[in-house]
Amino acid sequence: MTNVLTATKPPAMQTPIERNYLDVSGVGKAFRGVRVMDAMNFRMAKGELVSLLGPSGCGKTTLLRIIAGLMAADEGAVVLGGRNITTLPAHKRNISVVFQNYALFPHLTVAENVAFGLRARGTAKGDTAKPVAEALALVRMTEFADRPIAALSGGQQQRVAVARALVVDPDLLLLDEPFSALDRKLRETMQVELKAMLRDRGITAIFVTHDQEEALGVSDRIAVMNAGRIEQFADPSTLYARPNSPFVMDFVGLSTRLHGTVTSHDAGMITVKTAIGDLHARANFPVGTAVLLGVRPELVAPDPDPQMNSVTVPLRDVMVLGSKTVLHGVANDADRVLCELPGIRSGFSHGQTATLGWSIEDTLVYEVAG
Amino acid sequence: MTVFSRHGVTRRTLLKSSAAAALGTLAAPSLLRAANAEIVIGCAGSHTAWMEQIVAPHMKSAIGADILFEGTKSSVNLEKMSSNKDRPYLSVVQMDDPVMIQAVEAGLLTPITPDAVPNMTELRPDAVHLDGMWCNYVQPWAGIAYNTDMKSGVASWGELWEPANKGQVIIPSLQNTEGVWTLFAAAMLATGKPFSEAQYEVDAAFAKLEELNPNLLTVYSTMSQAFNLMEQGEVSMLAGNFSSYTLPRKAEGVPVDLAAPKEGIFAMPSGICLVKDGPNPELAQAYVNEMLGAEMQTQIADFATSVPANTTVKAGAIVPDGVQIHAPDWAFVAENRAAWIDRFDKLMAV
Amino acid sequence: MIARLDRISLLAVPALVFLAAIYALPLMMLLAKSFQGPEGTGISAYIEFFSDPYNLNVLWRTIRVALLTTLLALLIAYPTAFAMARANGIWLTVFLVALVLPMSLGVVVKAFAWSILFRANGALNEFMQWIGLTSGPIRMMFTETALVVGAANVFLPFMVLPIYAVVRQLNASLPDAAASLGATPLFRFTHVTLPLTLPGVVAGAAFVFSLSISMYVIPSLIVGERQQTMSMLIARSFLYLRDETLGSTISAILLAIAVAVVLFSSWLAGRLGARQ
Repeated sequence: MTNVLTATKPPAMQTPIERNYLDVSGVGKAFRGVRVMDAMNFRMAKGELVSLLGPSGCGKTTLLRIIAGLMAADEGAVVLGGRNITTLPAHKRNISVVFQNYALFPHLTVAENVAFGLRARGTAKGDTAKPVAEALALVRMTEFADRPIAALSGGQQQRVAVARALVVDPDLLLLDEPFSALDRKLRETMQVELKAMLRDRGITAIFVTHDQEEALGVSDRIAVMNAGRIEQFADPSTLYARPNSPFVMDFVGLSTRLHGTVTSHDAGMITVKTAIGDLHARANFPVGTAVLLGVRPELVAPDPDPQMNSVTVPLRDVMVLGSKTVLHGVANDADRVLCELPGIRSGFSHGQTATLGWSIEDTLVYEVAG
Repeated sequence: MTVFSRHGVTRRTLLKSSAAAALGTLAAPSLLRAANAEIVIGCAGSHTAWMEQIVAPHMKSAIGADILFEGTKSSVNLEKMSSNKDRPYLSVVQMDDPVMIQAVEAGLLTPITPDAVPNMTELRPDAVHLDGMWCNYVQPWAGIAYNTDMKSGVASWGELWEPANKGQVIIPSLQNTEGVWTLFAAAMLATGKPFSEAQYEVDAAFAKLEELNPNLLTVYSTMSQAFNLMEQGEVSMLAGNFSSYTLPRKAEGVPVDLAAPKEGIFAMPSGICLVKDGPNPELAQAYVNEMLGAEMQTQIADFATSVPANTTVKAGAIVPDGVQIHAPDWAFVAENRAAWIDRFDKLMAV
Repeated sequence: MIARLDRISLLAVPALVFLAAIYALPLMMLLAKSFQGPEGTGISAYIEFFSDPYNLNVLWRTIRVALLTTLLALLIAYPTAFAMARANGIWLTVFLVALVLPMSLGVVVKAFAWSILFRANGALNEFMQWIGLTSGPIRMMFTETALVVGAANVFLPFMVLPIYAVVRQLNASLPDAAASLGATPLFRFTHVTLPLTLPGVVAGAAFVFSLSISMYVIPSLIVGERQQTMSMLIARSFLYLRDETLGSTISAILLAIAVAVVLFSSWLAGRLGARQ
């Protein structure tokens, strides 16, 4: 197991190899003649926790399998810790994988599952007891050591899968939708636990997930993938506050969406004509450009100041969720205004008209096909 | 059950006799007894062709009965009779003489009488056995079948033993009736005595038979398979085969013929009998009467190249000139058969 | 107890009655006969059977042929089952048809077909001489090798299908998991794939062994009367020797072997499956 002293160094102290610890460059892949990935480039530093986030079919699992060596890339290179592993078979890469269904060996006990990687590496049977016990202690599964896999709950199986992956001291840990089989409450607990464990031990890990909340919660950085390429690769707050495309804006969190056309452009400020009035945003688009405006719902509030963007819309729905209240305003068929207010707010009701507003600086604007 | 399933029953017979085939091996099916115009005949697998083409249509018009038949080995017919002794479902059985003797001993048969079966009076005297317990109807003759592409004839039973014929011979198992011909031929060759005496020299016969081992490709219990191998040229000679099988094949243009070796040929002991307490006794008697009558004898003897037993009939197989036809002491065979089979199997084992 | 009896379990009643009437009862009567010799009740028939070297030879041949048949069928079936588990659509159909269709063809027809292949001037001998492997025809018909090959051919589906059923249920990510944990292909096979498919192998082997040890038509057609097996001895005893005691005795011995194999394999399958 990794010594605590080798845990992540601050980026400034890292060597170039550590900064580009995993370097995927120019990777492409086709299945039966259909290109699913083209010229993929992906870099991460040692000790980072990164998520590959995207809808199913976006190529995130393909990328994970190429990195793990479970699938060969058609072209491009994979370098890990300065070592080119592109053509190395999976069993020689020292990259552990936690599978979506955990892939625990049903014919082995918990302890035998955890010992598998050590045995496969030639460790004598007698010498596996200590590291296995440590790994099981780490995931708090010590008392289950001799149980059969079938006797474990989903959460327990996940802990065993993590222990099995970590006991071999991998250079990289890949986790494929590791929480998707757990119920919501357990999922959140496990996310916090796992992140702390990986962080403490300085493990470099990639999570593959389609769940944006999970990605935001566990990662240092998130690569949002769509149709075989990375749309945006950034830390969670940048990704949320400044998504670089409508896809990212929609995939990471919810937003107000308003389509319109630029009617004037002056000193980095544009005026956009929408179905529910003129709005302003900081951008440089020529007059006549079709654009999509967006704003995160918690930045929208009722009774705006006069210098803010302001719209009056009928409310289609008012959701009181306890910690927050969400107002759903209708602009037209495709467009909506979302407003999220902290706590339980009264005074809004379905069918009523509300005036909502937000700061011009918070307005996101993207050029779209006319 | 597999014992019975491999004996060739054609699709048509199978359909017609499906009830009998399905239930016949278990117990006497009462539904057959209820159907008045049907009788079940036990016969040999090699009878299938003429039973289907000649006998069944004839019986339908002559005695108004539907004929269901099960073609199998004589020994299997005996087993069917004895295991259904209390409730027989077979009315008539056509099987070989040595097995007839066993059936008589087991009390499974009822005599054929001239009153009920008038045609039996026209048979050769030697075709009626034990006061009518069974009769021979048509009799094929047995010799050595050979592949005419490989040999021009078989002059002597001794040729089976010749070193030049290593691996070129197939003989029947003693389980099959035709298996005894090789044994008797061995007895004649070993002792040099005439057949009537040689047939009792069993030890000498077995000693001679053991010498045949190097020349044997196999010992068959399913004749059609062995015959096919000879037709294909895998072996040149098939000992003990008989006119009702070889000669129709020859007539079809297959390169085979039946040789009559100089030491003599044998009369196949094809018998017909009435099952004791069998269903529809009157129909059964009428069936036997027809089988022994001139019309059936003529047709079957021609079809199966056999010698008719009815003295008024001039038809069937031409028995080779100047070659003696032997008929063995079947009582002696029946008495010793089980011991011989055991001895034969151990002797010929590889 | 009656009240607590699962009603669904009543669905087994027809099968139980059927088996009791058609299988168990006659079998018990058969077994009883084996202990009734001419000199009264006892095991004299068994002593007599085992003191004849010919019978021991037949017994050993029967077991040897059954073992070799099982082994050959396993060697062919195991990879086939994996290929089938990978196949889908039209290919799976092709596999299944290729496997099941020959079962509808009688053994007699197959035996005739094999003779075309195996005889001295048959296809196989001609081919081996053509490629220069042999200089003259080799005798292949009526040999034990031909019997094993033929029996394995007939019983192959009974080996393939149980293994296929297990392989198809195999979680495809298990070998991937093993690989990512550093297991070489050989280690993956010996420690993951093989132990997980072993229950199918045990079931298939039990099927094929039981069928091979009791086969009658196949050996009587392929090796003939000179290389008898236990089933041929049984038929001979009942039909030709008319010795019911002997026939029952041999049947009982054959049954004992089959029961032992079935019990052993279900114990083995239970042990292998218990942890899953």
